[in-house]
Amino acid sequence: MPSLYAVKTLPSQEYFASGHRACPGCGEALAVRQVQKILGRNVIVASATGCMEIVSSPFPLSSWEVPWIHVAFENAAAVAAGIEKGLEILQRKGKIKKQKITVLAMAGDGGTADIGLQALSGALERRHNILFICYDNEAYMNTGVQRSSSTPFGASTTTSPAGTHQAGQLTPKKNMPAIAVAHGIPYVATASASYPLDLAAKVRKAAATRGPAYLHILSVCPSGWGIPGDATIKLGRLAVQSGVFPLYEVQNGKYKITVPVQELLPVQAYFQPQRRFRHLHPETIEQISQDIREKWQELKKRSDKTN
Amino acid sequence: MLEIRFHGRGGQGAVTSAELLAEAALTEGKHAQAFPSFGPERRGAPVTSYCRIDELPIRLRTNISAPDIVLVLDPSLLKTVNVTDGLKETGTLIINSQKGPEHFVHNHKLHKIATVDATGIALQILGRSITNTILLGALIRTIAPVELSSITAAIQKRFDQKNAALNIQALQQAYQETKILNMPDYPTQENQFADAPAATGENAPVQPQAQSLWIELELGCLITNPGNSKTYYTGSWRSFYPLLNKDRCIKCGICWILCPDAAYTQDTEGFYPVDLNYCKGCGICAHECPTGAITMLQEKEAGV
Repeated sequence: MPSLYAVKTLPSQEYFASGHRACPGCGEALAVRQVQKILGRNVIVASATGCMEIVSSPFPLSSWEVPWIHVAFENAAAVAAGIEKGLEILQRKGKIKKQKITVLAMAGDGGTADIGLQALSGALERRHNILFICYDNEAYMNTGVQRSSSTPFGASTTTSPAGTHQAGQLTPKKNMPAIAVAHGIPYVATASASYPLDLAAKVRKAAATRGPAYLHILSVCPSGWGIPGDATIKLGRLAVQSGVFPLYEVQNGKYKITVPVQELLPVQAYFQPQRRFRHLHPETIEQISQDIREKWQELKKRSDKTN
Repeated sequence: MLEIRFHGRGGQGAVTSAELLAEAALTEGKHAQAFPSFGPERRGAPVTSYCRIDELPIRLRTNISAPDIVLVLDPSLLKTVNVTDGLKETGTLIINSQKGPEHFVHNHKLHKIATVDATGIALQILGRSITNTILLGALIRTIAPVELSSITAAIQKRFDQKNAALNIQALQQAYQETKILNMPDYPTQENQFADAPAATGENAPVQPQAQSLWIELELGCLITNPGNSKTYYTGSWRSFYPLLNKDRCIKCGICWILCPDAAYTQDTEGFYPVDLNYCKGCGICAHECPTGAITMLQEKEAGV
C-alpha cells in the first residue's frame, strides 16, 4: 500500500460531523467527509435530494459545519450557479470581503445523470465558477434501490430485477464524465474514497480551477450492492483495479490516468462479492469484461497521446 | 385483537418477521396486517414494525402504542429503546438474549417473559446475525398466536428452498430452547436480582433524551448550530465494536481516513482511539488496518 502514512498529511479538521445517519460502512458518507476535509471552511454547499441530504440533516440536527443548502432533486447546479453569481456581485459592490469561496454543488447519480442533468448542463455551458460533485452509488439507494441511468449493465435493482425474463439492468451505464468533458469545461475527473490521496489531489485541483469543474466519485453502497459494510474500501479498490471504474482526469481536454493499473484484474473479482451481480451467467460476464477492456484501452490511448 | 410490536435494527428483518406472522395468520383464515414504522433511519438504526391479528376484519390503521406482545430482536436495543413502552399488564415480552427471563423482570407487571439466544442460533445455523424468524419460534412457543405449521408454510413461500430450510431449522431450534417465565408464579421479592435497565461503562452509549417538545424555529427552518448531529449518538446502532491492539499499531492513520463516521481522532501519543459514541461498527478499520491491529468484537448485552 503506497499511501501508508501519507494519509496523515491530509487535514485533521472535520467539516462533516459524526452523528449522521448513513448506513454502517457507507462509502458515500466517507467520500463526502474526505472531500469536505480538503475544501475546508470557505465553501458553500448546495445539495440535491438524496441519501446524503437525508442522513446529514434530520431536522433539527445537521452534520454540516459549513454553509449548506438543501435543494430539490433537479436544481443543485442551478442553485450553485446562483450562489456563485451572487457572491461575485456582492464582492464587486464591496458588500462582502473579497476572498476565495468555493461553491460546491453535490448530488447523487440520480440528481446528476437523470433528474439534474439539464440544470447541470446549463451551469457547465454558462461557465459558472462552481465545482459539481456526483456521488455515484449506481441506483436510487435512498428510496430502496431503484435503477437510475447510472446503474451498470446487468445489475439487479428493484426496478430492474434479475429473473427469468431479464438479467438485471438492460442498458449500459451512462458515461457522465464523458458528458461533462463534451461541454469543454476545464476540469473533469473520476475519484474513489478507496484512494484518499488521489481524491484529495483532484478536489484541490478542481477547487482551484477557474470555471466549472466536475468530479465523479464512485460511492460504494453496502446496502444496495449487497456487500458487508467492512468491504466498502475493498470494493472501491476492486472497481479501479478491474477497470470497471478507472481513475483519470481530463484537464483542458487532456486525459491522464492518475491511478495506473498494470494488468486489469478479472471483472469477476469485482462482481463476485456483490449480490446485485450474483445472477450473471459466465457468458454475460465475459461480454462485460470484453467491453471494459475495450474502454480501458481507449482511455489508455487517449492518456498516452497527451503525455 | 392481538397487537404485536417488533423492535429490531434496520436490516435484521423486523419487517419481514411481522409480514411472515401476518401471512401465517392469513393462511389460517384470520385477518391480519403488518407494516413498519417509517423514518430516515438506515441499516443498524433502531426500527419498529407492527402486526395485528384478529378473527374479525381490522379497521385500525395506526401504529401500535399498547401492544399485547413485544419482541426484541437485538439485545443491545435494551440500552437505548424503551421496549416495554405501553405494553399491557396482560402482555408478553420476548427478548433475544443469552440470559434467562428472570433477568428482565424489573418492575414490569406482565403476564409472561421469554428469552432465547437468537443471535447464537442465527450465527450457528444461518451464519449471520439475522434473528427475525428465530424470534418467531420463541413467540409460538410462548403464546402461539398462529400454528407452527402456518409459519413454516409462510417461510417456504417467502424464501428459496435452501434459505427456507435453514430458517425453519433455526425456528424449530428456537422453539425448543425458549425459556419462559410465568409472571404470576414469580415471587416478587426476587425482583431485586433484576438488572438495571441501562448499562453503564465505556461500551454503553446512552442516547440523550429528546429535547422538550416545544422549540422555537428559526426563519426558514434554518439550523444555526453547525454540526449539531454530534448530539445524536450513532454508537447505539452497533453490534460489533473495534478493539485496538496498541502493540501492533504503527500509527499510520488508515483507520482515521477511512472511517465514514469520523469516529477516529489522533491522541497526543499518536494513536487513533475510537469514539464509541459514534462508531457504527461497520468494520472498515479492522478490514483495512495494514498490521491487523484492530479486531471486531461482538457488543455485549446490557448489564452483562
